[in-house]
Amino acid sequence: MSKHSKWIALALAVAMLGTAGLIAGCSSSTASTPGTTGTTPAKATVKTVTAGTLVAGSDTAFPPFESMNGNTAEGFDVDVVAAVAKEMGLKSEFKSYKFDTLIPTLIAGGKFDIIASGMTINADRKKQIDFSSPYIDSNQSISVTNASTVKAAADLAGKKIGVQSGTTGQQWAKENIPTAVLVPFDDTLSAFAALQAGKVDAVVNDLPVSAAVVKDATRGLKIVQEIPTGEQYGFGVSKANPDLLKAVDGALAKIKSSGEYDTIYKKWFGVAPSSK
Amino acid sequence: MRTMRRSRGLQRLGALLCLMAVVALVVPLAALGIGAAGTTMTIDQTTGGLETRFTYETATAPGETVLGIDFAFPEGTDTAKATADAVTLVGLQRSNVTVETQAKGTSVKVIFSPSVEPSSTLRVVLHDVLTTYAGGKQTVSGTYTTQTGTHKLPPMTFTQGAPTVSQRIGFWLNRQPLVKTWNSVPILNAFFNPQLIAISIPILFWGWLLSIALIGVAYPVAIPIGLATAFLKMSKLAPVRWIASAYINVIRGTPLFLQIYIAFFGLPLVGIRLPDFPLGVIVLAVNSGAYLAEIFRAGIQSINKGQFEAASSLGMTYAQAMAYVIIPQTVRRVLPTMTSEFILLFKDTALLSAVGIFELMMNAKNSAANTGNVTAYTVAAVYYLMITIPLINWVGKLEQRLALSEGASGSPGTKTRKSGALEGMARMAAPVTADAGTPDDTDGR
Repeated sequence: MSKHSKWIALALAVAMLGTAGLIAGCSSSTASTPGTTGTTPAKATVKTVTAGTLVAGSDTAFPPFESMNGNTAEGFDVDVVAAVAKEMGLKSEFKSYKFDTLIPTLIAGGKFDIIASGMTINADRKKQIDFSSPYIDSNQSISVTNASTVKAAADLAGKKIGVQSGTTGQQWAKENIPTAVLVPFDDTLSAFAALQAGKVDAVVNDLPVSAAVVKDATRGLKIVQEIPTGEQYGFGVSKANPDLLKAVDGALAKIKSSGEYDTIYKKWFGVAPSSK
Repeated sequence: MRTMRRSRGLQRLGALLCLMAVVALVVPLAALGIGAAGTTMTIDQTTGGLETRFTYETATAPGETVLGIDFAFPEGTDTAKATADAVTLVGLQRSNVTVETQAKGTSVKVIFSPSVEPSSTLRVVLHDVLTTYAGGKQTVSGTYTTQTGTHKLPPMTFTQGAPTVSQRIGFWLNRQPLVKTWNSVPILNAFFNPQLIAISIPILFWGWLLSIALIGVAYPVAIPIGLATAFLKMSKLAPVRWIASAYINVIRGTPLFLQIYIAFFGLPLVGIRLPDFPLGVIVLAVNSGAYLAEIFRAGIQSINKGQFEAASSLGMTYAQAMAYVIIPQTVRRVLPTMTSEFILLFKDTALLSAVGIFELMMNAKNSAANTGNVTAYTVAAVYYLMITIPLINWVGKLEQRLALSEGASGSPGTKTRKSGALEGMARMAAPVTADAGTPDDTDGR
């Protein structure tokens, strides 16, 4: 018996060491083979995590920008990334992450090439990552249940506000309604579920997303205040990959001038993008 | 004469009305200009001595074109690193504005290009303004320039507290050369940033207390639930056994995470609304109750049948035999497994962070999200370990003691996995302490 268990222990130890080695090996190989060295077509000179594919990291609970339809991501961002990738001669793929882990994961590298997650370009984030040129405008909003007496931000003093962790909505609520208790959720849809369940009194969130959520009448929610913040979303790119940033910006400009961007915009928002 | 007076009266009335109309027109106009009612200045840091982001939101009046604003911050403010950006909006429609920033001493001058159009919302964001260490209620004043000249900016106030003890430690650490060297190593900076350790410890402490409170209430509630279910499962009546089995199997067969979501998002939809803390306690207790039921049942059934028969032969009833003979022996046997279950449940309180309960994990997640650094997770790990490591050691000791006391007998009938795994140990210990077997353990061969 004891002899037997010694062998089992030895085998387990070897297996553990082997796994550790495998992990180390894998991580170093992803780091060293990101893409396309040597004989590749002139178009795809940018480095991507998976050769030939532009992988986007995204918090896919943010309709109409990105949401999961079964196993596939769909939404405005998904279509724009697909068009951008096509322009770059790449395929595109979406991977789901929690919003507040997107920037650290992008910096750590090896998981995805860009962040496409309705992410507002702001100075704090720019310190950590680069952003493509803006691809859409956004604002903030306050949503409540239909039965709520809350009419505007001022009515939320001392109340509970649901937000998505790490978002500009969270920042706005923290700075503009300092007496309120902020309840951060992993994703926007959880914050709205908590609002429906009466766990929070309001949700402060990006206006286009809130508008899409409250459109579903079965939720029994309404937007009581639109907050003009003039935010703009951009695709996040690692500071270590300036070539990719340039390529994404170039492709974005091309799909905007070709009208493909307008088609995608119309598909998801029902109207043509307002010209400035 | 009379008519004249009357007409003069009318004239006066007319003039008054005119004046009122003008006032009525002018007042709202005045209320729309830069710095008028509705103007806000918000800050992102609640304590002084930190690089603070100021967001100034106002609106231009009709006919008022704004070329620039010169913000004058209170004495002691350092604007050397300050930068600014701005956006103007008409309704929800934004337009791009580029901003030239001139920071000097305590003032930050921003010049807009193009100029801000009349009747639009203007948001100016000033980054990295180092506020005074002392904090308190402070005033930002200054001037703004329109097409008609320079005007005084209506002053705005903001309030910051004095830095907390941990922030002071953070400031002190910021100045240490050793800390700078330490933080220049990416892995040390990411997981063990000294400044963030100092700041995280007090923030996470309250989350830790809440985690302890959750488990401190939930576990004692789970024990009677588990014991009752264990007896139901051993009942002679089949339907009673089925109910107990159904409860145990459903709870043990589904993730706690799913149970939490059902309780927090599902129950309120059917009108069952409970505050977060009691609801969290209930979910944890109901979950743990099912596991404890199986632990107790296995423990009770591991006591040799002979014990029960002996108790009956002494004229004890079933209840008496349970209370005086079986349960006391069971307690000793299940104590290690119960403690392990406690450790598991304590760690599982982290799942409640997903539904907005500010326990330890939630606080750590928030800190990590705010700072983009995972040092808070390391601190949280230490907080969890402060509870779990002593308990893990205690379980080890309990098991050892159990092994010693049952060493002489080495009961093969034990059904719990833990005591089963212990048998080898018990046998190994047996030769040394051959007479350590408790006299009431008649399970010898």
